[in-house]
Amino acid sequence: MVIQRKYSEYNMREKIIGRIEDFPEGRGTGVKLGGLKIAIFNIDGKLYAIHDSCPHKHAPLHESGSNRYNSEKCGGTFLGEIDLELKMIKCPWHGLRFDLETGESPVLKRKIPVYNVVVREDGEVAVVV
Amino acid sequence: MSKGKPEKNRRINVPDEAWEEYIIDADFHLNLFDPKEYLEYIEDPRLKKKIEVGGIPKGVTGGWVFPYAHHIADSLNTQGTALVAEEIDGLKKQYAIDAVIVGPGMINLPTARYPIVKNAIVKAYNDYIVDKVIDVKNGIYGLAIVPQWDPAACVEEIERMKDEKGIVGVQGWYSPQTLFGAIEYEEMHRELVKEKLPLVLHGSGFTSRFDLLGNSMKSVVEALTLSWTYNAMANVLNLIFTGTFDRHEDLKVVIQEAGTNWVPFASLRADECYYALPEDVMLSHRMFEDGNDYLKHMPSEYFFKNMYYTTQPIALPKNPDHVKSMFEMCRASETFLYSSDWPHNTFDPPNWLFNNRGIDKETRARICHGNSKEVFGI
Repeated sequence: MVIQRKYSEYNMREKIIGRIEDFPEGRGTGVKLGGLKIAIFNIDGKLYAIHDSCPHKHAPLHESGSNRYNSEKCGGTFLGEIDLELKMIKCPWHGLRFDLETGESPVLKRKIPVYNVVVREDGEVAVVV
Repeated sequence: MSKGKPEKNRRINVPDEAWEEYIIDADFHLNLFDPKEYLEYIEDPRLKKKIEVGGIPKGVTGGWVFPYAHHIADSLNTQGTALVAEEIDGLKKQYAIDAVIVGPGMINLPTARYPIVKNAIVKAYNDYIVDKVIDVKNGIYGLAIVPQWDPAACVEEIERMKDEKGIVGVQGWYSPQTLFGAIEYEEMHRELVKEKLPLVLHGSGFTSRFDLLGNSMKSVVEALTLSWTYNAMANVLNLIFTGTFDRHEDLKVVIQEAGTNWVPFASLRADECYYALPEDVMLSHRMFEDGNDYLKHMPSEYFFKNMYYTTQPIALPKNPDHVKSMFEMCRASETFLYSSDWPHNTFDPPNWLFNNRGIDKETRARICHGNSKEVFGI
């Protein structure tokens, strides 16, 4: 587990979204915070939070990297993947790429929101919104 | 500036306001088909003989004719013929038109055989218009043909014609077998940007050899409705997706006679498909060479930044509110150039621009002259 502390533990903008074990390594998990949809990705133990809606057609980005319906029957191929090295995800619906650290899409030439993630020593996970 | 009332030809019913507006016609044809008109500009005796006897090499066409004119021989030129500056000047005054961009009528040249002969005809045509047609004082400008079947010769022809007064662009055709984003046209694009000349592309023949879909159509009206439009769209998309405008940001392309209302459809669809397959563009020749993975802008942006569209044949919705919306979606005030297509049977006099509450004065002025002045440097 990587302890990610960027803000004081008394930062009122930190919102608890779960525990570290709720966010399995190598995949995305969708969370809701009020009206906000956030996709949390655990890459090599480090958590990234990005807006969970592709600006193209509002696909849930947290599904990037997950298996698709019956994908094993079509050779296991599916659109949308996580590039662990570049920390990029691909939208599961049409494949637009987003940088998990900056929210930038090289195609759109603009950003979607990303959030700082705080992993507290007791294993609680919060995002700063 | 008032042009005064026309002396004759009130039959076309051009409204009075048109005589107060400065109007540039961005697609006016010089139907120079008779070889004797330009033989004097061909020096090589072998070429001269071939052209004298055989005329312009015949295009590989689908056999389309417009049999509703009085005579088949005149089936395209239903409004008449004007071959020299004085004739054009007299003619344009009848239609409240102040300036014309003269283009050739030889639309089947790209598909015709004998490229050497065609190159000679191109040069002769260009020399002819410089000598006998262009008259800047009277608002008569010309487009120099580029022999698109021979990209190196295109560059030579631009070099030869670039300093001629009144040459305001080069003429090519969006015929089915030519896509102007091809890397072979790289030098031509570079030269055009350097000389600040637009590439003006007109529809070409409904060719049987290359346009299989067009050739399968059973009537000329089907082909005229769609064939040119989709060939124009193919060229616009090819220019965009091959990164032509990323490498040549200042290249301007004018699409003639493909209509206008497809622009929102094609630009939105281009964006939509690019969303789905953005990695495809890096495999085009130019993008691959430059190491660019993605376009610098969304595809739709090039439709409005680098392209212009002549209006004929205008196809307006009946409801003026829809006209307004359509023009907004096409960004007509930045991209449309009024054109007549004189003297063909799809001729559009400028009357549609007036008395339509869907077209405001400012937009009308841009379409009548503002955009043409900008792109042609008039």
